[in-house]
Amino acid sequence: MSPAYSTSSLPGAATAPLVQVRNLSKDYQLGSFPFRSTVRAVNDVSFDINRGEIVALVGESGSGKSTIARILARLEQPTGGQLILDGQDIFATERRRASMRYRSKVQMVFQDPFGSLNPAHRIEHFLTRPLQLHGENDSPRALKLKLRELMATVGLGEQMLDRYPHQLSGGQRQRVAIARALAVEPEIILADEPTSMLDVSVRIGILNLMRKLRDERGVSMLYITHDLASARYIADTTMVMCAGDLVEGGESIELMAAPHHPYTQLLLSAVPDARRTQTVRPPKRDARGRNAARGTGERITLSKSHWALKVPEPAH
Amino acid sequence: METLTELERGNIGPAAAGPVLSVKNLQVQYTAESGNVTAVDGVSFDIGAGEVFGLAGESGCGKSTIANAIMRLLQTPAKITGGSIELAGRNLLDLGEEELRRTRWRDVAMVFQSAMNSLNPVMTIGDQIVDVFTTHEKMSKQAARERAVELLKLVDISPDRLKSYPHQLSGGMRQRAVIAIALALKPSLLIMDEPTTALDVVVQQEIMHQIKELQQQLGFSILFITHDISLMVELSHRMAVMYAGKLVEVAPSKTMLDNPLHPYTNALMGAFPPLTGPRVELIGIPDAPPNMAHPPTGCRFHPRCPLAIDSCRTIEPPLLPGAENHEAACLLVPGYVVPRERSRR
Amino acid sequence: MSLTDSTPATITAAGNPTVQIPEPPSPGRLVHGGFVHGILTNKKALFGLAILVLFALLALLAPLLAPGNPSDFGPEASLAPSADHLLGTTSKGQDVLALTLWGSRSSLAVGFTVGLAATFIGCLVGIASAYFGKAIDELLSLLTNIFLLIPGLPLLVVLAAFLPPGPVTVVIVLIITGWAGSARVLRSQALSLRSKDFVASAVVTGEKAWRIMFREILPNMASIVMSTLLGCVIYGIGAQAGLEFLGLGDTGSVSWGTNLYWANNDGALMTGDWWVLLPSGVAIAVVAFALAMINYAVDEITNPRLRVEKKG
Repeated sequence: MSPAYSTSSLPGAATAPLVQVRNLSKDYQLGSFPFRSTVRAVNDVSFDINRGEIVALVGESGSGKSTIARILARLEQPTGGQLILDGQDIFATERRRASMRYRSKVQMVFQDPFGSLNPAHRIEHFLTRPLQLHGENDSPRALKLKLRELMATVGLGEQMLDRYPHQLSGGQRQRVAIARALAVEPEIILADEPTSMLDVSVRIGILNLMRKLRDERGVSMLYITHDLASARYIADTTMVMCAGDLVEGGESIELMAAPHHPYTQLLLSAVPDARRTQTVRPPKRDARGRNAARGTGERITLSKSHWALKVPEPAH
Repeated sequence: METLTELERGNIGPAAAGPVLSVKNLQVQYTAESGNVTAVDGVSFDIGAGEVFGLAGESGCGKSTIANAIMRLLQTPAKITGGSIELAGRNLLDLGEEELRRTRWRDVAMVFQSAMNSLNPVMTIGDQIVDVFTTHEKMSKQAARERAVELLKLVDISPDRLKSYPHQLSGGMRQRAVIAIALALKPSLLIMDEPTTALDVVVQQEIMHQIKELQQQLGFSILFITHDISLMVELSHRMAVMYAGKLVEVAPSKTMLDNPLHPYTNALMGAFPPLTGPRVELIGIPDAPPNMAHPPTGCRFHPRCPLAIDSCRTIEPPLLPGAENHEAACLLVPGYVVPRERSRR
Repeated sequence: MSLTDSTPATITAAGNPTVQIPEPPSPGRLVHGGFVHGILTNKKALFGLAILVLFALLALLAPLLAPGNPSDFGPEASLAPSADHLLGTTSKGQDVLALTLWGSRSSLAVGFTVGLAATFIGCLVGIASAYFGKAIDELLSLLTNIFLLIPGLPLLVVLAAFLPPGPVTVVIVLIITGWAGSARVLRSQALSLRSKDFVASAVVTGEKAWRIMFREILPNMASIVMSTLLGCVIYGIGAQAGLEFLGLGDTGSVSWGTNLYWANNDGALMTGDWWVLLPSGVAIAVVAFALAMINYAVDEITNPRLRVEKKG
């Protein structure tokens, strides 16, 4: 794989990446005959995720970031591109449906803590099912032990297993969702805006939990978010999406200290940060970096781990 | 801004010009089968003419309830059970239905959360604005249409959008249209309940900027409600933080930011990861806000407070003066002597 | 979108401002104890249930309460209600009360069988349609629409005329004509649930399709399935009566519908023997009313916004 695609500066980057995405595209058909139109939600996106790495995918709504997560979760079929997990070409070997093996390696945490847990089931159900589907036939006692362990890992008490989702707070539900994802001992967790529907003071707890899982268990994560600040907080690498294109990527702190692509700069300037000293006047609506994004798809290498999409020169 | 204006320092406003809004000891209860829940418990604050007052708090603290109470939009099982709400001297709680209808939109207007989704989908934007004028004022349709054009220009929407339906506009444009409709009758107070939460961060910045310009241009007061403190700091002159139905701190914005006196405010400020500087591990606030049916004894924040002392369990502190125009409901406010000094937890 | 503490709608649903329950009905609360408790404390439900239980008992005890074959011709014809014959006799001397009691067995049995079967098929088709989508959805929807569009009564008549007479025919015919309506409604509900994150999460966990359909989606449709069931039962009873009134059912059997058929055939209206016609008709109406009451009650229990305010 060409060095321009490798986005990690972590030690151990010499080992093959866990996930390799190449030229991923997704089109949606809108309207019905004869007024059909095609929307390109994801345009030729390529990136790597290494073992034990948290990669943040940042962008506004409609940028395609959630679509990428859903494609990786095999909830949607891509229009084109390759997905290589652990050296296996996924779309070639399991075209139509994800194998159980895939499901045991790739798990997902959803945005809405109220919608991602079935209100008709107890908490215990959400943790037991993945264990039953993917694990060995555990005796009831072994199962109970595993449940207790899982709950403890995400910081919840065992007594919550008997409760129903509506009896838990948003933060607690999200922890259950994370525990559910952990039950199969995945290699990577796709987290689609896991904190955006939570109270501000609760978010940090969830983000810290995610960091802990990476540090202690080596679980990789693809962290989808629109919030640059939280991406900077937990992600080793940050990638920026704009209207379907991956416009910039690199080590998080470095990228946010020196953003190159105009869209990244726009995004960074728009983040409300009371501590910043300069007040930035937002540019006029038409002059957004968006139109500039559709370039040739060529990347400029800015440093070992920092690259940006080449912005075409304006015609003179 | 380098130097705080008099308004920002909180020296002009309520005392000087006579407050536009004066809320005193407001109490709102919800009746449930299991018992009454007091969602807003004795909240008092004033908003002066031309002042932007921010009200921050997390979900369940009661801030949206206050907004709905001021607009008299509460429905059963919610009920105002105490206190007064004075708008330019008149107690809104005394007004009858007819007077309320006339007061709403003319004297006080509200922009709800995701109000952009509450635009009538089968009417054009133009028709909806014209509707406001023809309903509240004796005006010909032609005159109303002209005023509508002016309004749209005010919020930077091109007049040819008058004929557009809401779904044809972007989220940001719809929110600006909603703000325009709210300002149609030039109210003296505009209540905004999480006006940008459903918007992308770039659009959010544009809208916030738009609101700031409009406020400086037209001079109306704003009650700005949000859970995102950092968003509010730049816009507001003064801010209040709410927790479990009560105000826990009130201060000019910059002061609140630089020197929060209440541990909750402090923790809230610290819950936002920085965009600059080294990565530091942040600690949120443990557990969750209290069940309003059974709030904790004493200070409502004490179970989650890192600085709680024994007295916090029994004494519920009122807003105590900590600095110039700066109050906090905490026994540890500098200068306040705790009745029975005990060792910290 | 982030949480705020309240809008009037969410407060009405929960009563407790800090616990966010964005959608009013929470099956979790209902499925265990909550539903039963709700039914038992709801006046409408109790009323409806009481009537149904009464009818069920009468149907079961018919052999005891009116022994003998009610269709047997009797000596005293066309008698008005009296002490001996509480509801009078038909022109053939049959005791109307006995006919009504025995009739309830057939009518209720057919009604509930049709109701259950039509609802079951409707569920199957509706949920499968919603879950699989695309080609399967197109196919099943086409099927549903065909059965919806074909005029019910003529189809009933045609089928009943060609198939051998008997209770089984009636049941089959009614199920065939009755499932499509519920399938449509159930499909809509299933579709809205299909797009929820908890279904996606079950897919990502690796659950099989049928498990997701019946253990994840269906439990959340409890109230609408219940409504559908009640509606189908009413349909079953009413349509059976209708068929039999037209003489297309098994005229030899005893049911409320055949009672009405024979009453009409024997000219009860012309001779002014109202007691022959009334009981079976009223029975059908009362059972339908009871089922409707239970339906309202189920709606109220599952949607707190419809609940009548308790004083105090």
